[in-house]
Amino acid sequence: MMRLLKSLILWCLCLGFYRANAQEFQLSCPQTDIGLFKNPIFQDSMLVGLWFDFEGAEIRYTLDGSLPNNASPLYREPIVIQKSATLTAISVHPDYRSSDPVQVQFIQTFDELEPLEAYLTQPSSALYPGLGVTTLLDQEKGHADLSSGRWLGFEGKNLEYTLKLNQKEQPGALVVSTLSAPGSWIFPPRRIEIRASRHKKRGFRQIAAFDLQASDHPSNEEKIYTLPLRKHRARYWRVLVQHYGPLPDWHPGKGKPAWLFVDEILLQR
Amino acid sequence: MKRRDFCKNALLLSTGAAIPAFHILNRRASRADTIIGHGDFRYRVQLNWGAADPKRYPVKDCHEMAMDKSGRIFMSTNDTRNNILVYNKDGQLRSAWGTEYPGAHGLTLHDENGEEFLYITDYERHEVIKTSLDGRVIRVFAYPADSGKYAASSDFRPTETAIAPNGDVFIADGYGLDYIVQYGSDGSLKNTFGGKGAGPASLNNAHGVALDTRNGANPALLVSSRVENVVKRFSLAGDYLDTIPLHGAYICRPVVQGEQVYFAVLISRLPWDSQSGFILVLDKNNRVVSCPGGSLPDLPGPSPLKPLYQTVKVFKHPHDVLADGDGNLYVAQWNSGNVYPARLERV
Repeated sequence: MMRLLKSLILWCLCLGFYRANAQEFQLSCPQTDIGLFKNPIFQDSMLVGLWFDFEGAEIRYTLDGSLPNNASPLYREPIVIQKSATLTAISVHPDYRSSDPVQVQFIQTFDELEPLEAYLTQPSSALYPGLGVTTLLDQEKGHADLSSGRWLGFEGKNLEYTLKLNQKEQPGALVVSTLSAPGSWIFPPRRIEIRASRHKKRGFRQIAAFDLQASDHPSNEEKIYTLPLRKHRARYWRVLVQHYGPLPDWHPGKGKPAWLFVDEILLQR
Repeated sequence: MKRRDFCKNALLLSTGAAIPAFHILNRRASRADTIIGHGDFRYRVQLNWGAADPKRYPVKDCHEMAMDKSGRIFMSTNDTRNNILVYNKDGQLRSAWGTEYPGAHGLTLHDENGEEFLYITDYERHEVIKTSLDGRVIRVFAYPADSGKYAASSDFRPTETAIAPNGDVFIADGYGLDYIVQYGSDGSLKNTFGGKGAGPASLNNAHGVALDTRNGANPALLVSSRVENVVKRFSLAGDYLDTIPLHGAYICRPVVQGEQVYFAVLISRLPWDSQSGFILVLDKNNRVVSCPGGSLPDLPGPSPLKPLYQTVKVFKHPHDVLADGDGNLYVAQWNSGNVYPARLERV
């Protein structure tokens, strides 16, 4: 009897699995007010709203970067964000496959280091000039609209950004905010490096370098990299963000240079 | 009881009352019985309606559809092995023609004193080609050199046409300079209006144009300004009338049928390959009354208006919608894995 029950359960699970994968439509992901009405870079705290207007559907979310499931917290009202966090949310419904996750990264900036000077060693593309170097400092993220003036775009070139800090400061983390939108020829960076020097123009040596795992098929996302730095005292700092390189073979622009899009670079204590 | 009400009640019964517990495991909506849309405009999804043998009838992007008076459905694709596919209403592919339209995009059917013609808008050829229903070329409308707005034919990348009762041809230059170009039926240039810019009468990605005949005595032009997520109304003389906001909806062409205007919404968020499209229905007052596969607009209130968005992934990038006399819809899709057109059966 038990065996019969077991195989019945197994059969039902398989059937459920089959139906869930082959037969049902998938929901789209929940909507968030980040990018529409709100900026995810904040000082003290902020409220984030989610919504998904579809009869019988609900929103499940996490704040630790993990993928939500049916047992994750149920969204009922705007969430208070009090520190840097990653919000991940999905739409779920008994009759449909759950949505892909939507993810928003929040950056708290209470311990921001304000540069005394800042400049780009190489200008960005004339097509995506943003507001020049201010784009990297204004703590206003760009979003899906590439021409919003909030992105700096580089066609097959690296970003090289130099800033002067008060000599007493020792940055503890580097934050680089980027875009990946392969359909628009925009790919994530390969590597981020930071160098430091006592002098404005010479003597820069590497403090840290991060090889990023760049996928052959990156997804559409706004990605913020927060990279730890060992304490080091210097007046001049140089951040290098390395572009993806040639577009991969599957891409319609195969072999041509990928674009690099960056909208914020922050040094934190 | 009206047929539609009956269906609604039947649906309630079948999901509610007498279902044995075992069926709960099996209850989830399969694709075949998924119903999408709102209010009076709900549809059963028939994704495989136009499925055909890709070796025999290959498609790339399925751009637009039009129906002739005998009920045959014509569809344009930019696959030059067969640019025009001809379906019957049951979704059977009956014939195909056309090998010279690399940018076959807009497809408009016009009844000229009882005889029907197609207007194929080709953004790669930079021209509009008028043909018989079996593909004989009648006339070619080239770029409007005399307008003074175009330096070269390559600036003209038209996407759509609308044909006025007198045979005038309004061409939307949706991938070019966003002008609406009016030709007489003999090919003489009559007017050029719209164009890129920031003013209310300017257009940004004028992807579609249609003749709005719902106010019989006083027809107007509906023009999609896709990147702005709006439809702009113009008089036939090219005077700007007003704007219908469709916040969040990157609409393709307006399709006027009965009292409604239908749109394929290509995407509801950037980037352009976000697979976030759905279908949108306006009523006679140009209010959004249904969004099959998408959300309905918010009621106006104190908080800022939220954009429309896709709710269920029935479609990836719908590019055109055709409505038949019974209110069923046929949907062609761009950049969606070479899929053939689907049907939405009104319930």
